[in-house]
Amino acid sequence: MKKAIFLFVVCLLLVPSVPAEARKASLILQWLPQAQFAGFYMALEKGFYKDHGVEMQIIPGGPDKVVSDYLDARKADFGTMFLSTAVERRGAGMSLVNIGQIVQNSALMLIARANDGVESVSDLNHKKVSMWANEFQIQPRIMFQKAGIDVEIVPLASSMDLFLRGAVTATTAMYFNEYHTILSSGLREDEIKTFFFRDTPFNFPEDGIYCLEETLKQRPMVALAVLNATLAGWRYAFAHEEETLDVVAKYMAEASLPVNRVHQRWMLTRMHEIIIPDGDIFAAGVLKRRAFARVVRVLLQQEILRTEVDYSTFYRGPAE
Amino acid sequence: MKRRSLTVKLAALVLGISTLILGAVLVYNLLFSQAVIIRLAEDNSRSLGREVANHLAAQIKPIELAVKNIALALEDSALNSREITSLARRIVEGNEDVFGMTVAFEPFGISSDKLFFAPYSYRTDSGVKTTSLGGTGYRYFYMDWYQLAKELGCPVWTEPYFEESGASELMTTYSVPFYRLEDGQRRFIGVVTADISLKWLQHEVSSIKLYDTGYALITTHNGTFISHPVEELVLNQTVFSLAEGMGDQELWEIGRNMIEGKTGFLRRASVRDNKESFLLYMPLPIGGWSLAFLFPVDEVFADVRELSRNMLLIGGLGFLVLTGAVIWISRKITKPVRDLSDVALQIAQGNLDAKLPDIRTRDEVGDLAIAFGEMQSSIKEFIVDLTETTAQKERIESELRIGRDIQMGILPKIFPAFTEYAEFDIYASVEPAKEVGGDLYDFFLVDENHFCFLIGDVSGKGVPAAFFMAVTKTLLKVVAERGVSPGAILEKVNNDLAEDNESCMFVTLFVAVLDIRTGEVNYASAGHNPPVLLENSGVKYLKPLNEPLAGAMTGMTYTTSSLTLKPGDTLFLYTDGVTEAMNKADELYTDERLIVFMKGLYENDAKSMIEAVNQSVLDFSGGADQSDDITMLTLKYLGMGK
Repeated sequence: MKKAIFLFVVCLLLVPSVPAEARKASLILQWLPQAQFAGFYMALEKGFYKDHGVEMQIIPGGPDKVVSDYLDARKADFGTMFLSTAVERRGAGMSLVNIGQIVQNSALMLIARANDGVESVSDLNHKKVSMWANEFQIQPRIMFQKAGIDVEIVPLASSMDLFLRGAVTATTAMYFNEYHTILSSGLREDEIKTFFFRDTPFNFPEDGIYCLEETLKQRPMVALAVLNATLAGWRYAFAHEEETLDVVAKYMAEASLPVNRVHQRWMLTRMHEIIIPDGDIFAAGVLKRRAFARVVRVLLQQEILRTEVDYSTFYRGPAE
Repeated sequence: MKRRSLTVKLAALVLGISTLILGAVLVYNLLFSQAVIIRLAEDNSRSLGREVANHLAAQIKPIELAVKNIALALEDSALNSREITSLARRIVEGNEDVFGMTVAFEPFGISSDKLFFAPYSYRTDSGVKTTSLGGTGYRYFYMDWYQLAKELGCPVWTEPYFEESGASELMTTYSVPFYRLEDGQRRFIGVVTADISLKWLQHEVSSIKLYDTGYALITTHNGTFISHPVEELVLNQTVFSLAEGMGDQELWEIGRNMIEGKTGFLRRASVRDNKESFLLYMPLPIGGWSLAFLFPVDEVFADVRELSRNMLLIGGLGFLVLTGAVIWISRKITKPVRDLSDVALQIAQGNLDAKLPDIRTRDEVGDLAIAFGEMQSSIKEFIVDLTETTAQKERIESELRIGRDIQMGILPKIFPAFTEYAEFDIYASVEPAKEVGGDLYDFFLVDENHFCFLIGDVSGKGVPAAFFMAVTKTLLKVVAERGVSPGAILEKVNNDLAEDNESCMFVTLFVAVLDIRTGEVNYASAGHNPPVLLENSGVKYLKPLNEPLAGAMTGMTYTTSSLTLKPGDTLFLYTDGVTEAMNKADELYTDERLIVFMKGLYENDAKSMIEAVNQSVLDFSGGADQSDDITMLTLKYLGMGK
């Protein structure tokens, strides 16, 4: 704990003196407001960005907003993305850099109906599995390949109704979100079978903060400030659960989203687990070389990535 | 024990029992009517629910039919895109319950160059409009309304959603997949949908009033609330997330039953205001939807409570009236009893002429009064009799006392006697018992040298014994003065007494004659206790002669025995009044005690010896009632030398 405080103080000292005029910055999240981004909203709400000399504008994401497009079009300075997405873009030539890795473990999972006789992944052979598009399919597809099975993929939008009504045998889900949605729709834990990618060799770190290389070059201090303020926001969020849920609920209501506090509490708790896995606070914000290498290797194998991506050019966050 | 009047006892009993009965009736009434009311409440809410369900069915069935018909029509590939578009539009125009309708095709389903084909006709304030769905921002074939029908292969109602574009109403969509035969295979082509507004349903459900504050709610296939008085639950929460948040497993199970289309009726606290309520849930005709009613228990029971309260009030008033009546009647009953008891107290205090209360009731109390009157006069008569009898008894007793005095008077009582004779010392005493007894003693000179002394005890008590004693004494004296031997005296006296002794009385006697000059004593005994001889050498009983009692039978013979008293020796004669004196523990004085006591009395003179024995007997008896005469006679021979 003492060490943590020391580290925190050092981080604060590393922040350069704040100029009189706040430096404006914008950040796009990869999805709609929810506790998945509680740290960002709390940093904004508690003035941590301002404290770090940044006048932050957070742009909520959504199904029709692609973060990399926003960065590319300079509609946002910073954005959050899955590591796999960002690596793929980098490989495709976009000059994306990671300035801080927030989520260390994969929350992606497969949920199957226990009464459909699914005991292992191979039981999904020739079964319908609803899956989100793009990066969400990377890990499941490898898993199916490794298991040597052929599944019928049904595109998945945002609702779990396909799965809940039995139209598909299994579905992709995020542990912090849809898993709880399913339980909140009247299924018992023993009525579903879960497959966590965090327990497989395809445990991909997920949400990280990205910007264009030129942004980092021009405004390195702002990038550092954004990361540190965000991490401070997360620390605050985990320490002040109820206040955080209030703030998240406020942003959700502004976005006309259904607010379910129980669900958001579940999400916040799960985010804590994957942002600071095993209580390892030193991991916060750091992209681990090994995890990165794992993602790159898989993407290369899958031919999603055609050229090697270098860790040190890609990752510009705090040293491991 | 504490005294309690009859009134109190009667009142306590009657009122206690009536309270029990009243209580039992009230409780039974409460329980029974509650059960009836619960049943009624359940039936009412059920029929209300059926009404809502029927209404919903009436609303949606025609729409379902219309959508299905269009789907059927679309299985014919002859329709072109314009015809399809106008078909859907006409349905919207002709059916005001349909908010919008889409016919959506699979990618490239209508033609190989069209990724999207989904004409959408919908209602606006300015009439029905038609637009095309689909685009990079809206890939409709990934939407639930499309995918559910496609993947499930059957018509479905989607989860309700808010239609943002229009009037922000809660909508749900009915989707029916349609297929075409291509190359002999049934292939999925697209879906037909109809959107309906649920505003009317929400309104209808929210306007349901059950009792005062009861409410209704609707949940969907996922348990999502789409109608609930707590606004923030609507579309935000499911029954399950609510149950999780509240830590309420029962609620979770209820939610599960609801989405499984089950019906239930139970009692639990309401979510809205945590009031103990009845909950009824039942399925709605849209798959997995459930309608529930909650109505507070206290409102349901309000009438029963009022009924019970009024019953209690009436019962309480009745109780008061009953109390008054019981007190009045018991006082009425006990008044004559109390009056009688007052008179009885006066009678008990001696006022036999106390006036009885005038009781004329013909019941047990009347009987008691009559019996009481009879008792009073009987007591009076008895008292009169008793007074007379007592007077008679007193007279008899007085006469007896006089007789007794006379009887005692015939015994020589003047001591010291024969003081002119220095040769002997004589003393006698009789301690009469209360009742007249028959002890006797006598002593007299037969001639100048012979001194006769005797003692006796007549059997029985009372006047006959007294007479017998007097006769015996007289006879003895008369016979003894003839100078015959003691044995002859007894024989003569026995014969005289036994003659004409019809009452079969008898007497024990000891007769002795002392030769004053020599100290020789001739003696005979008729069954009398052996006298004690006190000699210088010791104290002993004379040897008993074992000869019969006198007066019982004629012709008896009696032996005359003889002994010689040395100067200083003493003969002590006594009756069984001495040896059979009793103490309070009913123990006898006994011969043994007498002989032991007398061992120390050799030196005493005649009088002091008797006084000592008398004291010993008194000490022994310790104040116990004396039942027999105690008679003693002592003769101490002093010899010629003196």
